[in-house]
Amino acid sequence: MAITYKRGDSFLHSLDARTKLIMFFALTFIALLFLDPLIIGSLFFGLYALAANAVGRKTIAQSSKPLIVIFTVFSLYNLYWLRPKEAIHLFYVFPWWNFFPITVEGLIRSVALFFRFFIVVLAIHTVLYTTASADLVLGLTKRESAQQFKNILIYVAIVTALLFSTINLSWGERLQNISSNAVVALGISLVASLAVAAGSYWLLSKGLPPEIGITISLGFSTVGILTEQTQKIMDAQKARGYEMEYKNPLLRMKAFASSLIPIFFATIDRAENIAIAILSRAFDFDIRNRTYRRALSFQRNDYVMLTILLLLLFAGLGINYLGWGRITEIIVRSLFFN
Amino acid sequence: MEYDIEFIDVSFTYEGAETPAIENITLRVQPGEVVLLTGPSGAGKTTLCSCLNGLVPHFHNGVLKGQVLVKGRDTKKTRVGILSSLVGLVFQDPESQLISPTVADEIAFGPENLAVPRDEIIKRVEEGLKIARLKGFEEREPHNLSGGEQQACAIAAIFAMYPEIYVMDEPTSNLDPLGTQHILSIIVKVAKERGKTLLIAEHKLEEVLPLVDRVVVMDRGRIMRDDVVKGALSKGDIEHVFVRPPLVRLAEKFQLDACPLMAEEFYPAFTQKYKLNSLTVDERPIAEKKDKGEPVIEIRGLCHSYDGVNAALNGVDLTIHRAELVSILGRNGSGKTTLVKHFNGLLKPAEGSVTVLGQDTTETTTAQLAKKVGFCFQNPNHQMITFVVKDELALGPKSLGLDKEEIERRSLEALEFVGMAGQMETDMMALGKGQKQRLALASVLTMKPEILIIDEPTTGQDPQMTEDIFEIIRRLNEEGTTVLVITHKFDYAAAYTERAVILAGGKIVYDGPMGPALMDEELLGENSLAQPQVTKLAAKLAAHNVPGDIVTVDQMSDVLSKLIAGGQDGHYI
Repeated sequence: MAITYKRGDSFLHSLDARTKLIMFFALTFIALLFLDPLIIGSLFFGLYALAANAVGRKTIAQSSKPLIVIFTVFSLYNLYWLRPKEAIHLFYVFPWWNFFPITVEGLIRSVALFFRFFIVVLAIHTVLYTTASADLVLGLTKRESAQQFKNILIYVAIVTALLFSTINLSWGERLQNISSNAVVALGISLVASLAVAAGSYWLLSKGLPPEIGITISLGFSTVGILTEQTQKIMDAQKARGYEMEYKNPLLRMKAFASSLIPIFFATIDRAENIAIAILSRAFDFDIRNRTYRRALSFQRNDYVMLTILLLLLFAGLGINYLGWGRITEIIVRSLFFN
Repeated sequence: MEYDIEFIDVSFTYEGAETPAIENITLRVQPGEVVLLTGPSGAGKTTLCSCLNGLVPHFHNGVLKGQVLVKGRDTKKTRVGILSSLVGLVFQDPESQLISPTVADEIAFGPENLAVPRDEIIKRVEEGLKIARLKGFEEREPHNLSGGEQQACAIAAIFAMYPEIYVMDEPTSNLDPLGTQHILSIIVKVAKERGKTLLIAEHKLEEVLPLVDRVVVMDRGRIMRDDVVKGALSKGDIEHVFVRPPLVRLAEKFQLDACPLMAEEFYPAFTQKYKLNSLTVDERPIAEKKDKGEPVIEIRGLCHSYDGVNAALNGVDLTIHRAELVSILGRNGSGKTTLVKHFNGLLKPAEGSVTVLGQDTTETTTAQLAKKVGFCFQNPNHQMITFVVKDELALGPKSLGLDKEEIERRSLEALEFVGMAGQMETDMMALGKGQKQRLALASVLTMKPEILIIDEPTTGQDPQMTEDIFEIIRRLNEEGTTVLVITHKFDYAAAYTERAVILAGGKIVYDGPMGPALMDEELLGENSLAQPQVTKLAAKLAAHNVPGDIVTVDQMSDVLSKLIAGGQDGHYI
């Protein structure tokens, strides 16, 4: 089941493609910051609520169901590795050899790990479900409004603030190693933050080259076409007396393999046709200066979303700074193992 | 005089090919001219078109001799991007040239590449949607449109680029007859309004000739004839290459001064020259009646929907008898393919029942049904699985579990049946479009099906190939195979098949003998089927006791001779 754009008019649909991309990166960043089921879990369900509101639970369930199994297996596997030294020991999975201990912390963290994977995947699914591929590509390639001075200032200010606070909250002690003078240390971190912010703006403002943008866009629109083509070819095989409708997955794989040759040729054919089609539409006329029909612009909802994300980031940093990063473990310990 | 297009002694041989695709072409087209390029498949029309925007030689490798000038630019020295901004080229298969996620993006793609300012792009998209009658389709995915809509979209995408020269390579091959007329008239109208040069490659002479100024006939890479329409028509047929529309041939036979394409022109010219009589009753050609065999396909209350909302089939009842030859007609998207896919179980009835050769299709698989029901797909490329003709032919009988000698025997027989004897060892890649279609048919025939279903076998085929295919269908039917053929070539369907089933909006709107359907102009019009000009002429001659269901030139010629002969003999009734 391919994850493709679903039309709608929800909050997420109304967001600019760039906002959603930023959302994806911000959520990923926060998910990496914590290994706590309460924090990541609540973030996960927040995102899930938004996504369910946008495309419906059924759609999300369809694409996430197989992932639940994969991530569960992965989390179980990590149970073995996730056991800090001072962990509270519960029992061994293989008591005969004292092998594979299960600890309270290990259990908690592997649940968190499950959500960590899931939130990243759910975030990217949500972006794909609610953003037209053309807008997504535009978000990656071209930034017309970003040319304005006001926008540059806002961007640089936000990123600088973010970096500056991160540096000072997370590595406050290490900064003192650079210079014992607190003011100088702060100054250095501020300048560094500014430089990185400006540099990242410069990188982002260039965007991907249009060729790559169009390649991605072609990829998006070709998936559906190739799926259809595959169906047609398999139908043709059936009509020639080849059994394709096996219940046994192994036999089904074997039947599918016989379709591979025509699918392969059809795909090559398609690629050549696409090349001819885009060349005939003056693709290489003056590619660096090509224009775009679609334009992206930040609306009220985008600012709302960006503010929320920013608050979440700061909150995350604050929680970490205050030492509540493992809040679930603290609670469980104080409740049951005191 | 500056020419828009100038070919000076041009030859092009594709890399790996032995013979040139076009040879010693010299052709000059003036600004504003509307030129028809015609000739059989493989004549080099597409190659000639591809020379104009530089795909030859920049994309397709090979040896280009001579000089092609487009607006005075040598195509050898100019990039495809620059040439494409001058020459708008629309290809035969719309599906393969649609690349964007939505219709609006598709139309905008060209202007975007040409760096047209955004406001102007939006204006051009609006205009393109209007011209192509695609308003309201802006956000639809191009590959989910019907064939006609896709073609209109591909054309709108080129119009939006405002090229200097329009080149259309068989732009109507996937379209139903009225869709064809609509698309052709749009193309010519826009080119004329903008005062631009237009080159159309097309087989459908009856539809396109009234719209063009000049005719260029090609065969085997060479230009055989190049003249204004009247001149090209007055020089006679070139066998298998340029067969003029039926009424033109009749006019020549009866030495009329006019060169009529339509019955409206033929009739007065004919009645002016000759004094007409009426046919006697015994001179009317009588259709022979065949006894109906037992039912082989029985459908009751069949409904089907792809998306659960819109019905593709809505309450279809149909019975097909053994050894019948039935054509399934209707406009693009009327449910024809959906219907026939139920006959071999590719689709199972959502509602209602389908019984094929006494078996309920829900209780068996397509592979099982395939042993008795042959199915030929619209695009032969989708059913070719191997690399050599021999292997392709053997696939079906192998799945039946036949022994080697039997497979060999059947393969040879089938190949001979479709007129490709001696090609057992031929490489698939070396086959032309017409041959592939016939091979697809042959590879189904090796299974000796009792029922044969053919979905649009003549898409993009030239008149000769179309006739070949229908001849094969007729012979098969005469040997006792039940044949159902989906087609847009209504004149051929009328000439070759005895029963017509017409679908509209997922329902059967006509099911009966071909004759009455052929004469019912209203029914045909509603279903995007164009009444053949010969039949129209027959209707005009009804007062002379001429039956209304005449389709072929031979029949009509016979009737006309009798009408005027009667005048000399005083043979009145």
